[in-house]
Amino acid sequence: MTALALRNLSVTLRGRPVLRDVSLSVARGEVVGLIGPNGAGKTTLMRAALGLLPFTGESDLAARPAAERARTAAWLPQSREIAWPMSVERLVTLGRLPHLGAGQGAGPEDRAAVDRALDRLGLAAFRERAATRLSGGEQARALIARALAQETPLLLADEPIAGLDPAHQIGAMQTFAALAGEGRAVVVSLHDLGLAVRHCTRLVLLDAGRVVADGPPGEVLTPARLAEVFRIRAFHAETEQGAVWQALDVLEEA
Amino acid sequence: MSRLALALVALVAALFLLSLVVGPAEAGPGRSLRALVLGDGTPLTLVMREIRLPRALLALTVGAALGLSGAAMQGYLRNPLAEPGLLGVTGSAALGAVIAIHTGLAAALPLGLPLAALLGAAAGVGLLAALAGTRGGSLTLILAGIALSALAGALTSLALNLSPNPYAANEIVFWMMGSLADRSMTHVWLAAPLVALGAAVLMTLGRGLDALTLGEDAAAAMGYGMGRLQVALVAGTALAVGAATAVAGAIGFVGLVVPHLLRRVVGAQPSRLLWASALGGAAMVLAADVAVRVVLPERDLKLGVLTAIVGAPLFLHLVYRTRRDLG
Repeated sequence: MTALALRNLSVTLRGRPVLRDVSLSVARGEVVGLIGPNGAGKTTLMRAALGLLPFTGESDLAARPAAERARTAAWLPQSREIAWPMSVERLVTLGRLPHLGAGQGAGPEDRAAVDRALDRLGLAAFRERAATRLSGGEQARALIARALAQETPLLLADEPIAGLDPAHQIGAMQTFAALAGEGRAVVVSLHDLGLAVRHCTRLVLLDAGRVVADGPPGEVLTPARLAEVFRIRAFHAETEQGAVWQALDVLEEA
Repeated sequence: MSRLALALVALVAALFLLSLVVGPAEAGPGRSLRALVLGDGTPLTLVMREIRLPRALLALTVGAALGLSGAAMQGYLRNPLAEPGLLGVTGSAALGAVIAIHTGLAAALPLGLPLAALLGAAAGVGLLAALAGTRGGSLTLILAGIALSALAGALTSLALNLSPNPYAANEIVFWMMGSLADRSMTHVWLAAPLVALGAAVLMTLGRGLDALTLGEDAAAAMGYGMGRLQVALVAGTALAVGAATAVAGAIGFVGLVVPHLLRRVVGAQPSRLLWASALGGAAMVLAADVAVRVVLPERDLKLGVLTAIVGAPLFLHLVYRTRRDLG
């Protein structure tokens, strides 16, 4: 079942084409890693898909009414904003806003969703703490939990694991995989290709606003593409402990 | 209803009663209230119904308008230093009133002054909307508000500069300090419906402001676009604060300090801060309006002066506390 369908999506910002003719379809059960160098258009692609940017082409998500879209897809922006010193529990409960009826407070179902999200990110002990007083990585986890609490069929996350410690980076990726296992879909942008290779079911490589490659990690990250797009050389092998990928060095300009 | 709501409602009710029984006409609280309710035709009934009741009702209305719009402004701009005056509506309402005093309109028509102030507020918000647009950008909104405040302030100074006689200048200066003395039920009927309408619009912002805690992008993805929030914020604030300023003059610091004081108590949630600040603002203005009658009964101490004298040190304390928390 399709969770997201984009056709010929193009975005031009201030006369500069940022995204060109991107077509992409994401099915339930997939963890799609969106990779590419800085400025390749990863954030723009997700924001346009959500209808947060003016675009040409088609996005089934952006075509929905705002309230329905909010129950279909959760968006975790890259900028980690927590404006007020509210408790972690209140912060995560904000994810339930799209599910509340007019004048209705959070019910038992909402509280259960918040508990599940807190547990998944290992934040149960932080429940009462002011979110603004947590460390940067803990804030990032609280915001991931907020997006999870929205319990949407699709999650779009923009560099959610940047700045987390290794255990929590792996933990977050495993959480995304678990969501996919429950029949949801996750689109996640990330720069750590080693984690992308291990935890994403599929990679979409963007460069200069175009999709350069789309497929299983092993097929996308060929030495030729790594050289062309990232200008790096890498070690990549299937081992007994799963796929191992490690960047080795930067290639000189040809 | 939460314990906090009950406590605030009880506080407002107590201060409202206190406001009714404090005044130069010496009469016991029991007699005063009986005269108000029963209407026994004595002069005391007249005092209660024509002087003290409108004054207490206006303090309630004006305070709620200032507290609520302050909380809404801070939530929208995600800045604890924001206050309703930032939009320039207060300044343009004051300009309208000043023009009414200057031209003699205020003296010629019984409601000339507040109506001119409302007109000023309406013109101001029209200019604001034209300048800031409705796409929703907090920076352009602040800049437009500052420009509007500066313009209104300059024109107010011009009116003072050109005032026909020292009495007019005196009247303008005193009016701008803000007061609830010598208002009638007509003022209540003029301001209360507009404040109620503005408050109803501002209360719809609750969930949007909650979502905005996560940033503009996350809020937009949850279905709360900045454009619609900004339209509601500007319209609601203009109605509530414009009407409040028209009948009471410029009363500062309430919209700034009250949300700040109550933020911790409501767990920093912007939607809960809205109603809490409305009640808190009402309590603060009621208390301040009782104080001006008690502290210097003979000297006509102005309400706006008192809120500033109390508010500024309170605010300094909050700044100190914030600095300590950050350090």
